[in-house]
Amino acid sequence: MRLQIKDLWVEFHTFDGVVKAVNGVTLDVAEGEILGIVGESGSGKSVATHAILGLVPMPPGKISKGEILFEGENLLTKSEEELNKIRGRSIGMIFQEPMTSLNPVFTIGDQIVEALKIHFPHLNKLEAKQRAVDALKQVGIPSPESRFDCYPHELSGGMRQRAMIAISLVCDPKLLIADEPTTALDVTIQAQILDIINDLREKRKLSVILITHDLAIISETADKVAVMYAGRVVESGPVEEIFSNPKHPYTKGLLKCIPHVDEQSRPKGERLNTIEGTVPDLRSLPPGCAFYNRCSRKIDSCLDKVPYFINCGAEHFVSCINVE
Amino acid sequence: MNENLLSIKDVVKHYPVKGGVFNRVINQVKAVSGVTFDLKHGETLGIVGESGCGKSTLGRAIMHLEQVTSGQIIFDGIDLTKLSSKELRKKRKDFQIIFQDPYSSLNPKMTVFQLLADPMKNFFPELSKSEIEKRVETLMSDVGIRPEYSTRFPHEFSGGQRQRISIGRALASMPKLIVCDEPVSALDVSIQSQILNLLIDLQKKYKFSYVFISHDLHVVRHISDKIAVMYLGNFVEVASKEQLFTNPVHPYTKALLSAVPTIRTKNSKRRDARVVLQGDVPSPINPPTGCYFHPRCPVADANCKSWGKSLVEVESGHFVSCKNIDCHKIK
Repeated sequence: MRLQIKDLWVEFHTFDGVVKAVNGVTLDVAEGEILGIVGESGSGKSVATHAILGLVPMPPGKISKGEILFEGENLLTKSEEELNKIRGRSIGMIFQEPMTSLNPVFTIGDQIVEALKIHFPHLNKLEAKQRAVDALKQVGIPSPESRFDCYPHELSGGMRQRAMIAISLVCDPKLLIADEPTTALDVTIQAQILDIINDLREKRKLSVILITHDLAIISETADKVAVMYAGRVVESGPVEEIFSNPKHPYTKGLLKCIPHVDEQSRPKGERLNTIEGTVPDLRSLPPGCAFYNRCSRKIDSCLDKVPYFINCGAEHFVSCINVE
Repeated sequence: MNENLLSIKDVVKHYPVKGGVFNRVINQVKAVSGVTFDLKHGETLGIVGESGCGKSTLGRAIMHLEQVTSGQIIFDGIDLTKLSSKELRKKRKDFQIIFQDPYSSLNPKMTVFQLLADPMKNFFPELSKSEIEKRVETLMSDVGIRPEYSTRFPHEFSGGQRQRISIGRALASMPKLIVCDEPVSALDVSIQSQILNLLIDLQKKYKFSYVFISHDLHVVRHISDKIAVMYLGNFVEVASKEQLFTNPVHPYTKALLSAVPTIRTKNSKRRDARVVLQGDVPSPINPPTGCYFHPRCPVADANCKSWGKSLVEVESGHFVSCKNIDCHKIK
């Protein structure tokens, strides 16, 4: 296993009370595997993965319990200095907003070389530039030599996101965390970016954690998927299995909510399925299953305790006591 | 009664780019360059396209939130572009808009009651206070907000509920046309489907028309009768939703359809190889000559550079703007 998250709990201490963002998340990613994490806003998917690189602001954040093992070493006990050697070197990260995550006053080339120089100080200028240009070429930027001297504002959104990927890949990491990498992009550009990520996984045995709210992206790109709800993983397993045979009422509801392009044309005006209600307040989670108030299959004993994971075969786990 | 509620004829919207000495107009952003379509009573037209293709500008032009550079917008038999601002203000009762962001489109200092009652007071001054109260109450239950919340302020609601309030505000003047500019893009999927259902239910009840603008093909397909695909300020293909999804003709439409990720299960058939378009959308300041799509088009040839764009009817109600139509298979 390249990365294992074991029983992670993250909370934020605010003036309005303790926000329990992540409540006992367990995940793992193997070499060359793409793990998709899907959930609605506020489900804790970003917080859980930001904790890997120590990016949860502390305070107000606090990791109250858990372990994050990267190639066997616990990242949570490492000092800031030790973490800095891992950030960008063995674990790369791409953020959602390609407009704001690049520094506007430095050229793309400078920013790639900077990332490189931090981890490989012995490289001379020419070598560093060569590697940066290679990285740009790898993510499919046309005429990388001339783009090297461009400022972020001179590039389009898709190009900027590629530049971000180039920065995170220039040190040849083993794990890439992509937090909503295509949400701000158009579909035709999104297809290009997802192709690049898939390509790198195959060529370099890169492990990827892909965070998104779009189930269809997960279905097309990931190998494994974890569905999160109110800070917990409610269902996880191989992508095909989860999408053809969802067990948890939340996953089922989510899949039915989406209008499908693939389907035969529906009569106009047909209603979509919905999940009534809204996500519970993370400051005062109900006891037991967090999905209780919106669930169509709830029974009284759902409120007793948080449901254990049940193995429904073929690596498919679901956290529900009343599965069909 | 006129069959068409709305006819748009060759609408062009250019924004000046200023610069140089004396801040002269040195260039034009060609946001919408010649769009024509008709919309019938009770019909829904979906407009899809990528960011920067001019779909929102077109929506704002229909609403007359932007003065068009040229062209006609005929609404209910009257050319809106020729009305004085006073006449236009009266006419606004019949067409309303719902914006994308439910957080910034509601006045934070107004209660739900004020937000919904204001358009009524404005357009129906003859209504008494009690009648307005009654109408607001019906409206609130129509859009799924409990009437006892009428004294609350927007910040006390979630994103989905706020979008319901925006929909209520648009409905308050009993319009014949509602322009929806990405109404569900800012919402989570489970909330998105609630809002889409609400929009469909309301249309059934009140029989108005929608112009539904979105970048999401799934959503547009679900709600529309007709779909227009827009690229760089032009419609490249207009068709009924069945025609567009079963028999897309324009290479851009094909690429767009193939780029949209879909959920696949063990039983779904393998999809055809994905058409991944190379490059980015060109700048609308200096669009390419001829067909705007030719630099990215997989089937473009030398003549595409000088081709004068026009929508050609390939089958009944299915219009395509492509020179090489013959070489695409048409069933």
